Amino acid sequence: MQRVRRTWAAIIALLSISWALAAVAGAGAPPQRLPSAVLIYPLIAVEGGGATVDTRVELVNLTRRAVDLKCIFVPALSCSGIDFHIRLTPNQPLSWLASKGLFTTSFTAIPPFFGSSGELKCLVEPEPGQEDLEAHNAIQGRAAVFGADGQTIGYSAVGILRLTEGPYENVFPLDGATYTQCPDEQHFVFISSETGNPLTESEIVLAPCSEDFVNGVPTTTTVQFLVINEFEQQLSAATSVTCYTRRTLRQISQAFTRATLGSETGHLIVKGVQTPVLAMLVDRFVTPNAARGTAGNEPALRGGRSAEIRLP
Amino acid sequence: MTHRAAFLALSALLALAQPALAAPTTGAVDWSTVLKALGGALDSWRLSPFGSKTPTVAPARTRTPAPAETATRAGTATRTATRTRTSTSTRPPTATLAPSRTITATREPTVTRPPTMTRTVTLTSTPRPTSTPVPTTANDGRIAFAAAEGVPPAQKLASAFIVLPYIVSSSTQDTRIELMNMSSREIELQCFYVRQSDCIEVGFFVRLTANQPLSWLAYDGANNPLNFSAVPPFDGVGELKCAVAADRPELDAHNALQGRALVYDRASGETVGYDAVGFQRLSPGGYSGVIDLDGFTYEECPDRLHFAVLARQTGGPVSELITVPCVEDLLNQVPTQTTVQLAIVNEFEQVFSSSYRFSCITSQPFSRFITLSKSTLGTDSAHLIVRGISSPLIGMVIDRFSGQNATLHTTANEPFLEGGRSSTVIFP
Repeated sequence: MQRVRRTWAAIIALLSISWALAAVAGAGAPPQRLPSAVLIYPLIAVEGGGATVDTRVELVNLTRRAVDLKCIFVPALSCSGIDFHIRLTPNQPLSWLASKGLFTTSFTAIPPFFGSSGELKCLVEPEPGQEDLEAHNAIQGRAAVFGADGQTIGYSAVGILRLTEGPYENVFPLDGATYTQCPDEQHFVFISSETGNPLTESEIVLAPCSEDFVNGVPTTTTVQFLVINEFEQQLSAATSVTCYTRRTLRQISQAFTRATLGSETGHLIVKGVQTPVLAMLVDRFVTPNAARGTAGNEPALRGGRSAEIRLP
Repeated sequence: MTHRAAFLALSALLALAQPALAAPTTGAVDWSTVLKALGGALDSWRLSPFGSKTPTVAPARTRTPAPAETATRAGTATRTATRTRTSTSTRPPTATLAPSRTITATREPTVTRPPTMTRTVTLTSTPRPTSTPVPTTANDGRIAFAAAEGVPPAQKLASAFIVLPYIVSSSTQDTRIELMNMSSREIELQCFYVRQSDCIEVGFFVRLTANQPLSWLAYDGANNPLNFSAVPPFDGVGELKCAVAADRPELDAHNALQGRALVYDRASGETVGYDAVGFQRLSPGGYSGVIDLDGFTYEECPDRLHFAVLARQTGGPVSELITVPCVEDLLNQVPTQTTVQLAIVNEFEQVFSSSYRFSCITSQPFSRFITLSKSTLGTDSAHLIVRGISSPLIGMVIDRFSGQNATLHTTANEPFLEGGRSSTVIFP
């Protein structure tokens, strides 16, 4: 009998340790392009009611079940969330123009987006009783921001995976145990801007990972930039972000200009100080025939840090 | 994950060893109850103690001509950890396994069989794919609705092998290729352009110092005699594959690379910017030039690619689907041929299908598929699911649509990945 008890104790001890290790295994950069439980679109832009700039938002249900989503627009100016619900049938794709919104008879009512720039977050709300991982990790999405001048910025939403089964709650711990963590470092290759040529001014979009929409408290954080040129020389810069910001790289530092950097491309590492941040670049450059080129530039991710999203 | 698998194996061993130890002294222990309780306890932790043991190895032996399989299993054991999620549903039967071991043992695996079936892995090791009707038998050919096996490669992380599936260099278009070393050590890369027109590869080496970014125009190439990097100019349409030729066996020496490409039209500025598809090295070891995307040495190739695409409007701009096979033998210059299945789901959840066959690399305009037109689909957007038969695929869509004042907009549309299948890339 004693031997049985000892065996049980050993097994339980082993299991506790392996469970703890399993939790730690979720720590690190969130793997991307997989069915996810939380999607973050870092750039939604509407100008002139959609006549100048508009955004097509696309969502896909990657499962064979219907999925309910709670989404929230966060305009940069007000930093207050505007939420709505979406229902996707199995495998259903859905797209809409941010300037117009969308209304369907299937419990989907998306308001138009007001405010020139902002972000969109969508979170899977599994039905009670269906709280397995597949019910959570079900969606993916992308967006294309396009302007009357022909510029197009296409990008995939940042996906956060649910790691443990359980009900939907209004607090989303991105802690590496319940959900994957937010990326700690974001690595970009960028094209340095040419002084005096606004067509080569690449932009950066920054938003903190932690957000408290319950109390409407905008998150503020310092963001550090490390720039490495092709000669392995390092330059640095820093800025502060509250809620959301979109600015040209040159507004942050001259380190992003060709004159300072000394090479055509640079390796940029972005890191939030108080809280991790999500970042995205908008590449702008000029072709040899002097035509204007624009593209979304998504980061490679390294490491993870915990953050929390609180919804009302 | 490796730790978890080790612990699971340990606990399973403990449990199995007990009867032998206890038999002479305590004959009164009801082992079936103990194992059932153990199964329940483990289930509550969402861990499978039998994940590696269940291999139901014995029955598998009877079943498949799989001597190789059993061998792979042993190796896979370490990796199995990743499987934990999937295995959960299969758990209950396992609990019953112990009591009725002699009687039911053969039954249980039959239920759990599907994985073994998709274990068509055997096929990949013998890269003669013709007999792979996996999707058809499993789900009436409706690839949209069956669960995919395997684990897709996690993206946007420092990788050991990257693929840029769309490189164009001509008098009107060019591509800026951007690579970055994400580690603080110098790395060497072995890269190959593969041209669509003749499927011939052009190889070169690039050396990146710690954290170094590097970019070049495909039309011009690059040359740096100081660090032994000489990139030849590229002409035509094709793909670029780069592998980290690590000089140390450790994983961090392999997983160090990321990249992207900007394909642009010199005159109009129409730009397609996209990230490389990355595969991480999973087990330490030397670089040999044979890249086994088997889920053990490197991550597997995605089984299916999911795209959210815009339906083609009559008279409107035409999007393109670019596909590249994962299996590639550049050593013997044998171009991979495969059939590609498409499942297209509209906003009303109606499913359409299509297929095509290609060799090496292909770019298919949406105008080729009537099922991707708005007049057929009836909705603005569609969910496009792409799957290769003989070889898993890597791909992307070039979205083209009309915006304000009928201006043309072009952007890259990169896929979401589901499942994984083994494949091998052989570099000369």
